[in-house]
Amino acid sequence: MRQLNDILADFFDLDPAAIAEDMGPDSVEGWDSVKHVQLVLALEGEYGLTLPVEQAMNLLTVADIRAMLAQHGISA
Amino acid sequence: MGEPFARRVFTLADQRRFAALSGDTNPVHLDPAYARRTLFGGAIVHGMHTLSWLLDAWLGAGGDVTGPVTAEFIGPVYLDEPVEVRSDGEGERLRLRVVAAGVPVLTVRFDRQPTVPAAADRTVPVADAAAVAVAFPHLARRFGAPAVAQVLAVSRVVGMDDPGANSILSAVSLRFEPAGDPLALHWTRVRHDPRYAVVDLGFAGGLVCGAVRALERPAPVAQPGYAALQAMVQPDEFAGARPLIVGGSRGLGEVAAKLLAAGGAEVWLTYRNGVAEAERVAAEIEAGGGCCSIVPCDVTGPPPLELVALMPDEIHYFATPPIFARRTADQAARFHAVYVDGLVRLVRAIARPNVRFVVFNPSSEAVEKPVRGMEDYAAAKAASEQALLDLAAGNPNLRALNARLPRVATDQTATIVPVAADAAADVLLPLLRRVAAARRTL
Repeated sequence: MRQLNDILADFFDLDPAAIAEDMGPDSVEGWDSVKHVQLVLALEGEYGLTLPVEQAMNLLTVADIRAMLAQHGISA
Repeated sequence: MGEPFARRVFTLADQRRFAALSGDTNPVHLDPAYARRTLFGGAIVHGMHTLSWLLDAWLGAGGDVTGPVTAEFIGPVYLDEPVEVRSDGEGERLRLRVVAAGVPVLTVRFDRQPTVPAAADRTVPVADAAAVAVAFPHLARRFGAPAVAQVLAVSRVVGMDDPGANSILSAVSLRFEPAGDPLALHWTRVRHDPRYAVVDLGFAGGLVCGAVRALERPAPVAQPGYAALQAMVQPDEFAGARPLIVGGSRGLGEVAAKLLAAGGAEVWLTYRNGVAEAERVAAEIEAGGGCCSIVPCDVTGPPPLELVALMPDEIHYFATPPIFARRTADQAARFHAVYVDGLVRLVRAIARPNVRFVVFNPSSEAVEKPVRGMEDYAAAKAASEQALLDLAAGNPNLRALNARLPRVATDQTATIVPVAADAAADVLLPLLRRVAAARRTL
């Protein structure tokens, strides 16, 4: 299982060390609604999840994503 | 990013040639009148055309393609707009980017292996190798024209077959194979996720294999028919009115025209590009027993004389540029030109000492409820409200009605990921009644 920071770094073409917990669509170039959907699908595939659409679209920061994963018992 | 190594514009003639080579004749690429009703707001270049050109230009400039091609389509390229390609990084970090209006619209990298399906049971034919070699000479020399023909045919699969007519190409990951069927592109649908309108396709068995992600694009929004709207109004509640609907060929203007005509008004509606759509709205109203005439008007230019001579007693100003198109540096100016300058110019042209009229300006809730990314739109709408109040303050014959509308379901607000939107007629009818009440007090 890949670490969340590695997935995000790969996804947004960033250095993994540069990923910060408060990063989100407002602060990361290219994190628009279509990219967000792609990210949700990538996370679902990586961690074997199926998220309700409402919840998926309200993951507004890296911290939100990490908290959602923790809810599913995933430490990444 | 490095210096650009190639620049060009894609014209409609270029698009027609690519459509012939790829077999992708989706009208979003070839018919500007159709394309303006899509969420792009205008005709766009085939994504596979942009990608093939980029790779060809890269090879032509002395670069090489050393691994699988992974392309991410971030935004559209519009017809006739200048685009350029820049390279960035080296080796595994090499990225090629197409930039349009200062915004990256396509990113390509060569460091990822595509996911290839075990088998692909459907096929599409590919273009003649000689024609492909003329169009993309460097690419054809590097990988062979039959393989390049299969790359082009990816466009046809997405644009014509799956998802087909209402599709958006989102990402491509392909590698060239040393051997395979040279005569056809083999493909299969790998997955469909209706939650997000995502379709994943796989390619195997030909000279290229890999994966494509496409999105299902919302179809143009059909507004209610005249008969349905007739049922909402009294047949004489707008009788005697001579409303001018600016921007009435579709969306809110179309619904306002039908509601007012159904209430007995003598409606004039203007259109900019959608003459066929305006004619259809007028014909539908006339067939239902209403009265509707059409006149062309581009609010960013001087109002046509025909329109100035009309002497309407209501002006309903629905003119708008594409609202959700790509964010560009001149976006604030584009909104302002239509919502503020166009409104002021039109009202001034129609105003006479002896003409009394109401002006209805459909503003937006975005003015008071900020929406991320909508700042320029909201600012222009706020300015339009003030401009109309200023016009009214200087003209005792003019009544101003600014109303902040919620997000209403039209072509303009259609999204891939669903967003709540109200029905146009429910929002508009109470406002049209307020305009009528204001007219009666003139």
